[in-house]
Amino acid sequence: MEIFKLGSFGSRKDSPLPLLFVARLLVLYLIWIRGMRHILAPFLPFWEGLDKLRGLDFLYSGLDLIYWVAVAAVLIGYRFPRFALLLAILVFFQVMSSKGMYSTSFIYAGCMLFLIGLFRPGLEWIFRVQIALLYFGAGFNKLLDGDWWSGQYFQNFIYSVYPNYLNLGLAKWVGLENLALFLSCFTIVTELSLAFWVLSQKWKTEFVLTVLLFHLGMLVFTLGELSYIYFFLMAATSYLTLDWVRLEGLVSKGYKLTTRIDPKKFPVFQKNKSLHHTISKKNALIQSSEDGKGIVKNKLEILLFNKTAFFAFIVSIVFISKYKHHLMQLFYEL
Amino acid sequence: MKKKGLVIFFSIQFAATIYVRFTDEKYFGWAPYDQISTYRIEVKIGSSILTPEETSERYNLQNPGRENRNITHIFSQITQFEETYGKFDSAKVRVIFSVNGKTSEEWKYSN
Repeated sequence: MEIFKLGSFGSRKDSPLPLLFVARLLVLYLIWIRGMRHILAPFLPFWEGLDKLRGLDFLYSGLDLIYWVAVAAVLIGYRFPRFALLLAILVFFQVMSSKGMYSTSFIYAGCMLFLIGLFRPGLEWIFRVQIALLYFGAGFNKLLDGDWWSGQYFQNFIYSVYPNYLNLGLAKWVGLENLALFLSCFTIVTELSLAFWVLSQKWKTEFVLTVLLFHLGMLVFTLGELSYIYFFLMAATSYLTLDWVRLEGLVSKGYKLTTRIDPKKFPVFQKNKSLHHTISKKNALIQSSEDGKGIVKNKLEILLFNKTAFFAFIVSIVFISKYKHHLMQLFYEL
Repeated sequence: MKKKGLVIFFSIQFAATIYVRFTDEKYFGWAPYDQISTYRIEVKIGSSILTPEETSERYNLQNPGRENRNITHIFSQITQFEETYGKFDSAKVRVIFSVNGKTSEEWKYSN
């Protein structure tokens, strides 16, 4: 049983994917970002048959208990695939019970928990397909919307919905219409590209970095308003698409991935002395003397594979975005 | 068997993404933030006009509010409420809304 080891490498002995790490992040989304405390009784359900469950308080108390047990189990790593599956079922049930609870981020988190629950080695593709579906749906729907092609959506977005000195300043500089049209095209192209890119399985590190930059860019453009939820979810779930198999291969050859963050040097693969490989002095790159291929590309990739650093990065961004008004108030009071 | 189940799971999602292009409502179509609509709901039951707070509580919707997916979701919730929980109220509902900052429009419902 894995007790809370955030930096532990892999969570199933038969797979290098950091499933437990991502499951924990999804639970963090549920309890912290979404603030999901209870399973609520039906109200305007998608399937009206669920209305018959209204008034059954004992049922919802029981579901609350199951929810929190599942949350705790995933957080401590106890039989987490089963409990991730259970959480997914509760999420789907909650959404079906109430149109007001419908949100794509909530459903997406449920889908990912569902897939983590069902995962077996050889099914690594399921996470890529789910990510592709999300980006494809988002891009495809915008592609066929006249307000996106005319720039109307972003004109309203910049001027009325999320006005701030940054985007209004940009609009003043290049023209609101031009900026709106550019952002419309950029968003559609990026989302559709990400959908196909993740399926191609090429440049996996670059894919994750692009996802991070895309969503971080949105956050910066709206000064933290839109959308730290999607930044967190896409950062967490795209993490599963990194080349963990290559990383596992290194570990099996006697390399040890350090998980400490040393301020003087980045975490580094340390070579077992019995094998003949070179380690650069700056710990930036390790070259294999046998096949001549770079095993780890650069410091950034080393940092990306470090779960502690990754966790700290995405949680910090969400924390700052979510509590920016409180932080600013604190800052002014000081 | 598991692979077949997963293929069905993904196929349903893909089909929903295509299907919502032909419907007013965009539920389950992976369409976040496609449309930003502001709205205000007015409800009259008999001779009484509900306050914004009472309207908000009635439908569990912010009033006035903003819908980041599709304005038809608001209409769908109001319609379902009036046809189920509120079917004996004979409410008259008016939603004044604007999609993506365009000219205000009106949607009405009466039972």
